[in-house]
Amino acid sequence: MTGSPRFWTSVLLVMRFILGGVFLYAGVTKIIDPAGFAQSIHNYQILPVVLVHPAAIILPWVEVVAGTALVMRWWTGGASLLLSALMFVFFIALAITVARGLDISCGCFSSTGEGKVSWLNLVRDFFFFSVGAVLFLYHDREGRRS
Amino acid sequence: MPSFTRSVSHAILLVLAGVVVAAVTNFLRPGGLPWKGDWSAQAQRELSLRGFDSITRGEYEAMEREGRLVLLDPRGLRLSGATPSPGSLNLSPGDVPPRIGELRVLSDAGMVLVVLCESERCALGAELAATLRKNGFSAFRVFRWEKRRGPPGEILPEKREGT
Repeated sequence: MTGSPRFWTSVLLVMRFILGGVFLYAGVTKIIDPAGFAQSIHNYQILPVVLVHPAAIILPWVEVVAGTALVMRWWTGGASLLLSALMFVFFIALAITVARGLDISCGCFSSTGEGKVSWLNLVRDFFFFSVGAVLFLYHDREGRRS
Repeated sequence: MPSFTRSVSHAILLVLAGVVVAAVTNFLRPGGLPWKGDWSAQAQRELSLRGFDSITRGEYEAMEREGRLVLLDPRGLRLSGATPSPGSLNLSPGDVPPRIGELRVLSDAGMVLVVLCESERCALGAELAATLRKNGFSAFRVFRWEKRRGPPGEILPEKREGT
């Protein structure tokens, strides 16, 4: 990656806030309605039913913890790696759903009112995955804390 | 420690932190989600009909006697294969928008509109209830009959054949 250190520090800062903020928001909306999120996970018909509730309980908090870490610049490498991995998993789940033509809501930010899963969700997930990947690869380029 | 290994370690620690916080908050919060979910047909029905006012069999029979009951059969004429019984309407979810005015007239006239579950699972009934609400009509209730006692005899063919 080329360019002045200050420029890349600014770019990485913005990326951290975007990705961290998105996951913080997504996690909080799911924590508010865990039953609705469990229904969203079940609708995907990918996870075994015994794992639906544990995923609905744990996943939102992992998103919030990792999102907070990224925004606060704690363990940026680990947080961006974790969020990229989550984005990759969500991307695969969405791709399977689109391919199967299931008429279900994404459940990405809340349990209702998001409309049917579509290719737009895939594009959005790929964008956030890319942001996470760039942050993971170049997080040590962001200016050192004073 | 190489950067990649350190990042992986930190990612694992973040997951563990998330698991611990999730377990503690779920334990402490009132109405926390059980770790083992019930995804049976019965539980699915309860979930899909959550937020809709239901009617008991006793209330159903009382209103029927008073002649105030209008049953909404979600199977529609095509699926039910039957002429609607007196006091009932065959109304599939797709028929709701063009017939919403008719429902409002009945409701304004003091009739009690009741969505009938087509089966114990009530998938179509729940869809009809959700469609009615989505179209701005909420003056209705839902009748969830129990498998033990069966559906109302005059309406559903399964019961008619059995009697």
